[in-house]
Amino acid sequence: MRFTISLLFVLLFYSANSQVSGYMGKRAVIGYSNYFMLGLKGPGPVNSAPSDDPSLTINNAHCLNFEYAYKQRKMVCLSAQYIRTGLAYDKGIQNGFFDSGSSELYPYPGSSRYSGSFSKPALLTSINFGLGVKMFKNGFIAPTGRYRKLEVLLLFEKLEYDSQNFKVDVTEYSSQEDDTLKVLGKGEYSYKNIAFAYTIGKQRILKDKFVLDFGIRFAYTPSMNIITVAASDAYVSDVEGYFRRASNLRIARQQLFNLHVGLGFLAF
Amino acid sequence: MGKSMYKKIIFVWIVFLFFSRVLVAQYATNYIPLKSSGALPEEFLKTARSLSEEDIKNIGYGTDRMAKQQFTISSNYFLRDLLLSGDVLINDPLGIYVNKVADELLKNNPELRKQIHIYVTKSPHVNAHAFDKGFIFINAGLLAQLENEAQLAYVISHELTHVVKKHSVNQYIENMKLERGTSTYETGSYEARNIAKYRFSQENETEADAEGLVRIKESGYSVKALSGAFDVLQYSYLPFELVDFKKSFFEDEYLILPDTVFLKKTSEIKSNDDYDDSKSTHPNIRKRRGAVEPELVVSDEASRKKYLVSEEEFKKAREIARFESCRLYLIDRDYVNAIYASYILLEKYPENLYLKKIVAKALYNIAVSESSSDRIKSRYSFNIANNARLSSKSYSIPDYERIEGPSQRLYYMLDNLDAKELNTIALSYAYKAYKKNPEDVVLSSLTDSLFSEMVNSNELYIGDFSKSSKAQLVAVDTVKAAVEVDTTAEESKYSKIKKQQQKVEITTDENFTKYAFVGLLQDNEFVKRYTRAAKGLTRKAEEKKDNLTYKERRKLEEQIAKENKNKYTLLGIEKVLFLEPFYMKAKSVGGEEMINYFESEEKQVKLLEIEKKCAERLKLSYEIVGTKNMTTADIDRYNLNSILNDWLTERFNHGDNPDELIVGTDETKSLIEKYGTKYLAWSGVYNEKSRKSHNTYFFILFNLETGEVMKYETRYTKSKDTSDLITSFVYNSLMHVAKKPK
Repeated sequence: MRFTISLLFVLLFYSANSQVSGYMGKRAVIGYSNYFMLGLKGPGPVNSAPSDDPSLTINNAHCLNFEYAYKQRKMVCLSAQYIRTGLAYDKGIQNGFFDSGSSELYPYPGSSRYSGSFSKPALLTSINFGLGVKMFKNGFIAPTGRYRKLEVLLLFEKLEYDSQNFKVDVTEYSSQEDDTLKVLGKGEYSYKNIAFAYTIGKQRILKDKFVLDFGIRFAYTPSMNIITVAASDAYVSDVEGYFRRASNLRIARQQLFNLHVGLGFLAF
Repeated sequence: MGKSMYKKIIFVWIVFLFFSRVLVAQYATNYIPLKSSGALPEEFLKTARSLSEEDIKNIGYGTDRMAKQQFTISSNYFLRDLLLSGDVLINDPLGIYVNKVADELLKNNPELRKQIHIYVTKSPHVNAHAFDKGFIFINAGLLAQLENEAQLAYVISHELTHVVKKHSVNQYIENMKLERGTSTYETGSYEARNIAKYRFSQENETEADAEGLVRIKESGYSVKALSGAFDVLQYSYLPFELVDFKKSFFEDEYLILPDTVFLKKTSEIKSNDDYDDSKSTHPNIRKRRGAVEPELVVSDEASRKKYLVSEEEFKKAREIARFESCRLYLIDRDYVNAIYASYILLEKYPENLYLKKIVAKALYNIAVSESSSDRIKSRYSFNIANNARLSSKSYSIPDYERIEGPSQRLYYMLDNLDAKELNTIALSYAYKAYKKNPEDVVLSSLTDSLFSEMVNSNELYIGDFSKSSKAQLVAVDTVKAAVEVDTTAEESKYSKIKKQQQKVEITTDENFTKYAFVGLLQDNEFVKRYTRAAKGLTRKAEEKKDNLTYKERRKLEEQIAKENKNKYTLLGIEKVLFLEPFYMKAKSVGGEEMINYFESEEKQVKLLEIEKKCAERLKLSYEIVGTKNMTTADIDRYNLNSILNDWLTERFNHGDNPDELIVGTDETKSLIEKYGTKYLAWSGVYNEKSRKSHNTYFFILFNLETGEVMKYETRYTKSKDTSDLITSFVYNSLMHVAKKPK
């Protein structure tokens, strides 16, 4: 609270003494944005197919923004984002047979496969915090006009999955164990990640009060580089690692390209 | 010759002498520039849209309907622009007289007379023009050159033909067809079609000359009196009178200009009337004269008159037009012509304050231009939406070799004087004019500025001028020499050198400025003001630059830039005058720019609303000066707009050199007092849409007192000209105006 008050005080002080005009003297924008894009390889929070099957969904992220013009063409942006999506279970079957060498099999204790309902995917939520700079194009005055935005996102992901419905593939083991249900991992994992985003957009002020923001964003997650995406299970040593990789990939896909529309208001 | 004829001649002479004396008496001491009066005519109050909508209804149907509509809209937009520019005079003595002449001309055609609106425009150029809608504009510069009333009637008659025959719209349609290759007038190559445009226009002019003459023949005006009408056009580049220029105009007992700056013989007037007119909208004068002069014969010439209104009124109107021209030359930055025209009139009215001020202002501007041309090395350019331009326009006196007639002497003389000499002559002239009119604030501030120029730009201090005249020095020297014959005292080397130098100075004309102020230095006020100017030396930093190393120079320049940045970033101004903004929306179609006149007009209104909104938020007091939403009673607003228009035209003519600006005028001073602010803000937007939209926004803030540009800002954006975008620009500009520096 003390920090917030201090921050507001500093911002107000600068507003009163600076030569940054903002829009009609107002330099801070508080708003909501929605990032969205058609996801061809879903799933969404409610799934209808296993991972390899196409499942159309709309990737969706809700975002709260606080932006402040500290220079005539620059705004500092703080944002909190919430993503709720699904992570499809691997079916682990190709051509009607268990594919023993496939990375689609879960590493517990050897290869396992999911035997629950594929129509209800694992729930993946991600709370992201972003810090960025909006740079308005030559001639424009923040917060009005065309801009480019560079942003760093800190991603806090949480995966909740059905850990009770996994079966071990009997052909893989000499333990003579039957094809029985196993508990795979904890059923809930949390991961941290980082992403870099680049946005091209445009802001308009409506009725001297409301801020309409729209554009397109590209976000890159370094942890999901080409090696990790192509990597086999050899890089995954345990269930948590497996789900981390899968979650990161899902979030990375979701973040890669998004359109966005936002509505806010000029605060002060 | 019968007795009655003698009586008539004597009567005419008495009347002439009486009126010439009345004229001389009227302008003996001063002249007040023309301004509009009475009620504003209805046509000044309509928007371009309403003017056009009325006309479009009457266009009817036909193959050229679209082209006619386009022409009507653009023509009405320019007409309204002209009507509200402040250049058009309403109910002024010149306009009243010109309309009386039109009444006489169209006595037999009252219906046509009703449709015609004739106004005089404040322009020194010898020209007149007409709009198809029935508006005829006669420049004051043309009235100043005419010989008689019949010639004026012929000019009006010529323009009437353009109106009646709808020449402008026909020309527009034909030009479009010629460009597209669909015209039957010329079907040849592109070049041939291009030349045909001029030919078509020339045919219109020939028709206007011929029909104009027919109308004159139908009136009671003398046809013979028109014989000189084409001379007026041919020699329009010359001043309105040819008077021998004497250098004594600038001289006094002590300020004697050397003969070397005085041209012994001036060029003959050798105007060619048979010039190549293949790319001219008008046929050359020889052709026009050749077509009209054989027709200047009528059987009833004896009963016709040169003057149907009155000779006195004509002469009075012409004299007013000549007085006006002096001022208009000055605004046009035609300083030498302004001096020469004033010189001609000063021969008649030697004590006229108005003319003396014109000369003083013109000399001032020439002097400061000459001094600042060296000082301002790197000039910059303000380009305002391709419309107005405040650019690097250093003034230089036109080449005297290209001038014909007696005014060439003045050009030669001014061109051969250096900055110091010009400054000295300007100060001498202005100060003497001020001493005769000590209550005149403009002359007073002008002399102050000239004192400042002496010290700051030309490094001429009071000690550089001799208190004794050459004659006195010669006398002293002779007496001294006589005394020294009897003395045996030794003379030092240095004393001998000084004596030698003094002898050279006395015997040569070169240093005439040294003795220019002998008389004025006996005036305490002159000495006091000169000394005061020396104390206010302001250009030390600039002068220092020449003696610095590269590093030191850079450091100094950075320091100056920083100071200037702080000085101009936040101005803390409490009140401004908003000049009606500029707004133009254009569309590029196939490389051709089409202006959306209606939308431009609407956006202009919106931009003014934005300015008001932003100023209110910033608690910046404002007054709007302009011509929007005027009523018939708003003649004062119209005149105010005219004053500002003159001021801005002059300011833009001066480009980026504020020193050159006339230090205040009577009109702007009263305006500043009336509104309680000396700051004038003008903004505008030029929006062009080709594949994408582009905006150029500008904002400029002037100090009306000094002419200084306090703030200048342009913004170029690739975007639509949305209201929020323009609001953010305007607010930003006004914030810097209103906010006080820390």
